[in-house]
Order: sequence, then C-alpha cells, then structure tokens
Amino acid sequence: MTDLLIVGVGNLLMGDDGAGLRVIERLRGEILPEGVRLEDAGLCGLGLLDIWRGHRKVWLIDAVNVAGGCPGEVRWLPAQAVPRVERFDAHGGLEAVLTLAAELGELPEELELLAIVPEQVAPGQRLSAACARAVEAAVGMVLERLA
Amino acid sequence: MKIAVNHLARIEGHANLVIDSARGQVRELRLEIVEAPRFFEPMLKGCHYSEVAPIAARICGICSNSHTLVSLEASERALGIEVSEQTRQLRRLLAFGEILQSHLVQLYFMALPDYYGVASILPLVHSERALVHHALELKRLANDILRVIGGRPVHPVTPVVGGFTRLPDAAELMDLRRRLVLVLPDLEATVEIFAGLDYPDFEREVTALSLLGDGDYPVFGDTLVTSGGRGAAVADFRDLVEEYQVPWSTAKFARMDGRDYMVGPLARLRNNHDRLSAMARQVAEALDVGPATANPYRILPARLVEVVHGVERSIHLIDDLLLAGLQEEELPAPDRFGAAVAVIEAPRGLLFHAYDYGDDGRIRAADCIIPTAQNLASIEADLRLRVPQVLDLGREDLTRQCEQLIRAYDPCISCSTHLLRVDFD
Repeated sequence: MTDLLIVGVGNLLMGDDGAGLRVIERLRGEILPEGVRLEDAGLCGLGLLDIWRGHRKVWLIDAVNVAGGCPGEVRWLPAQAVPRVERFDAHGGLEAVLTLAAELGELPEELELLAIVPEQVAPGQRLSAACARAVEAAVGMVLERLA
Repeated sequence: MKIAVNHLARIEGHANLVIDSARGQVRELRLEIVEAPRFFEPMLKGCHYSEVAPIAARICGICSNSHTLVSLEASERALGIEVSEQTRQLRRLLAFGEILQSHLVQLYFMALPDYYGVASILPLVHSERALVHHALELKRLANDILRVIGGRPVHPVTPVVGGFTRLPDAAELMDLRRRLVLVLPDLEATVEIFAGLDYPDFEREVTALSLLGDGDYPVFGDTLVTSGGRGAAVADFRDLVEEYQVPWSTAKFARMDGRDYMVGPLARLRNNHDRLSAMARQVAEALDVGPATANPYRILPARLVEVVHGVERSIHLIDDLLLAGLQEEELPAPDRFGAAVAVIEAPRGLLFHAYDYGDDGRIRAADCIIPTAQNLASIEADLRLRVPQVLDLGREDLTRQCEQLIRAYDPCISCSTHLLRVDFD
C-alpha cells in the first residue's frame, strides 16, 4: 500500500480528546509500509485542507462521540458518516471542516475515520483507562489494515 | 424585549448573549461565557523548562505559535538565557505567519459573511468561488510559513528554549519569499473589498493597550503603552492590568484603572501607526483606520492592515536571514532559575505568560493572561452603548449588529476560559 496519510486530531491537554494523537505517537514506534505518512495535526481545524492536500487516501483518527458507542470503543467510519453542518462555524470542528472541504471539492478521494469513543474529555494529559486500552486497540486495527 | 442568542456563531468557542430591554432602555446585557473552565496553568506546574512550551503550544489551535513563543521567552528570561539575533528573526517570522493565518481566517471565513448578508462562508463557496479560493491560497501560504519555520502548521516543534532544533533551508525560505511577493497584487483586491464594506456607524472611546514597537511594529517587547500615552514595563504588568470575575462568565475579565480596555489589531495600530510598513500605512489610509479610530467594527480593516504589514515584513525578514546566512547554533544552557514574565502581540492582542522556576528547573507557579479575557469587558461596554442605538431595528437586525460587533473582536473563548490560576507569592 502506498501514499496513505494517517492523521491524528485532538487536544492533548483535554484527556481522551487526545486519543487520536496518542495513536499516532504509538504508530511512530512501528515499522510501517513504505508510502505511509503519519501526522499529528492537533487542533489544526481548517489546516486539515492543507495537510491532506495532494493525498488521495487519508485516515483520520479522532475521539468521536459515536451514537450508541461505549467509551473505549474503536470503530472505522466512512467520511460520509460524519454529519454535515448547515454553517461553517468556529475555527475547527471536524464536521465543519469536512463540510467546507466537501463544498470546495477538496475532500481526499478515499477518506475514512477511525473513531475512538472517549470516556472523559476534561483538562488533563492522562487518558481514561478505557481510552488507554482503546489506543492500543486502534494501533492494532491500523496495523492490521496495513498488513 | 428579551433577546438570548445561545451559542454565538462564527467565534471560537461557546458564548451566549443576553439582552433585556424595555421602553428603549437596556435593563440587562451580559456576554455569558459558558464553556467549562480549562485548567492549563496547573498543568504547567512541576514541568521541566524543556517541557513547558510544547504544553503551552497545545492550549489553542489558532494561536499555538504565539503561546509557544511567549512561553519560550518567559522561560528564557527566568533562566537568564539570551537568544541570538537569528533566533529572534526566525521567531518574528513565525509570529507573522500566525498573525497572517489567524487574521485571514477571521476576515474571510468569520467576518465577511456578515457583510455579504449570508449565514456562513458556505454559500459564498459557490457565489464567490474566486474569492474563497483566493482566501484559501493566502491561508495556505501562511500555513507554509509556520511549517517551514516551526516544523508544523500548528503546535510548532522546532522552537525550543535557547533557539531552534532545526533551521529552514535557504531554498524553502526563497520559495516563501517568492510566494509572498506574488500575493501582494491579490491583497490589493482584498483591500478593495474591505474598503467597500458598509461598517456600522458607531464609536466609543476606549483605552487601547499594546506593546510599544521598538523601531518596528510590535510583536515582542519590554514596554507596554496605552493610547493615552502611559507606559509601563512588561515586568510590571500587574500594576496595570487587573483580572476579575463576573458571575455570568467562566472566563475572567480584565480592567485597567478600574475600566475596560481594548487589545488586538486596532489597539496595536492606534498605538503604533507610525511603525507600520510603508505599504501598510497606505492601506490604513485607504481603509480609514488610524490612531484616532474609535469604531470597534473597524477592527476588521485594522486586521487587514496587519496582514499587509505582515506580508511585507516577512519578505524583509527572509531577506535579512538569507543575507546573513543561516548558522547552526548551540543552545545556551540556563545560568539561573528565577521568575519572569513575557508578552507577545498574539493575533488577538497581548498574551502574557509568567513563570516561577524552582532550583530543579521545574515550574513552581504559572499564570497566563489571554487577549480575549482582556477584551470581554470592552465588548460588553460597546454592546451597552450600541444596543439602545439600534433597539428600533427589531430583533433580527439588532441581533445581527451585536453579533457582528462581537465577531469584530474575534474572541477566542476556548482560550480565555482559564479560570484557575496558581498564584505567585
């Protein structure tokens, strides 16, 4: 597999919101196939458009409150599963960025989301126990798909 | 009439506006900051000086470079570290990159929809396609400045205590320079758009607080100045600025001499108009903003003047860096551990970081004062004066006028909700 960009987004200082970034951190220690690039995009908001520019295939990893999901659950979602918003608001919600990117025709051809259901999004750098396990599971799920 | 705007649109973070009026009088007006407070300062407590800036960089996605740069300077002052001229220039370039990026997003994506009579940028993607693409191109260039100098478009990794861990290539800098020169004609078109906007006619005298530029328009500095001409050393900022709490906000407000004051683009421009680049001064004239501007809606053109200044200064900074030739430098070690304060002109205004280090090189106490916290009282005071003037417009137009006014300040609520602070003794 070549030319895949794996992007973690979230806030490292807000507990489980940083789960996606922890997955990227962990993946840096793994041997990945050639052509796979990792990016810790943090709170980049609209900057995602620049980060994934030129990439046909992108996996986003983020803490997402999936309806009916349990804390610590990890799930692959198609980009279409992310609700579109009526307005482009604030500087950075993923829904708003994906909506604007879709309007502009700047969504990567293949975009998937690896969603980690958070338990606690609150100030602090530690993950909840459920999310710490979820990060390991997510790393495994990424490696499995890359194999 | 009671108006409650829950979740104000096109600002960073969550805030509500509540207005209660009767017979042409405003009975109550509150800008409610309802976000849960964030506890960043205590997170810095116990951190080694090498870990502080990377944590500060994660406070906010919009001004992560400003938090990093001011954090580094506060640490360096506390540790007795002098940085080189090359480091100062690279940091200045990084700061301009962030000002450009933040200002461009606010101007095009947050503010312009108000003046085109649409609810957000989304309808403009189709009706004003060229404009939106132009905005994205400009923003991409700003992002690339941040990436080339800071190693990443957000949460920079190369600036560290004492200098940089990686220097940009000369070729990368030359490419940035080429693109910066190319955007100047595009910016002229942007200036024409903003010169033609119908800014509401409203004025309120308010003290502007900013850094005083040291021969240049300010980014870093040692001296604060008010529009009344009063000066103060940055180290004495607590003699000037007092934080206080209001019951309806999880963010602190700030006052100076018991009154509200303004920070940010218009405050900087009012206090440092004569330090703008030649082109930016011309643009300021064309956009009708200057030292006496008292209309807060005109923070928008002031922001655009700073974009022009930022582009021009970035070109000159790159020239200076290339001419001198980039040199690998050793990172100096601390020669003491003490307390210090530093300030940067972040996109939204003065951003203070104050640290106290113990002998183990770890933070004992930290304090951050964010620009938006300093502007909240001014926004409320503007609204108190503005609302009675436009009460007869009816609910919808009145709400729009208020939102437009709040958005002109570009408040970053997420950043300003740092309620808890570790006090200095």
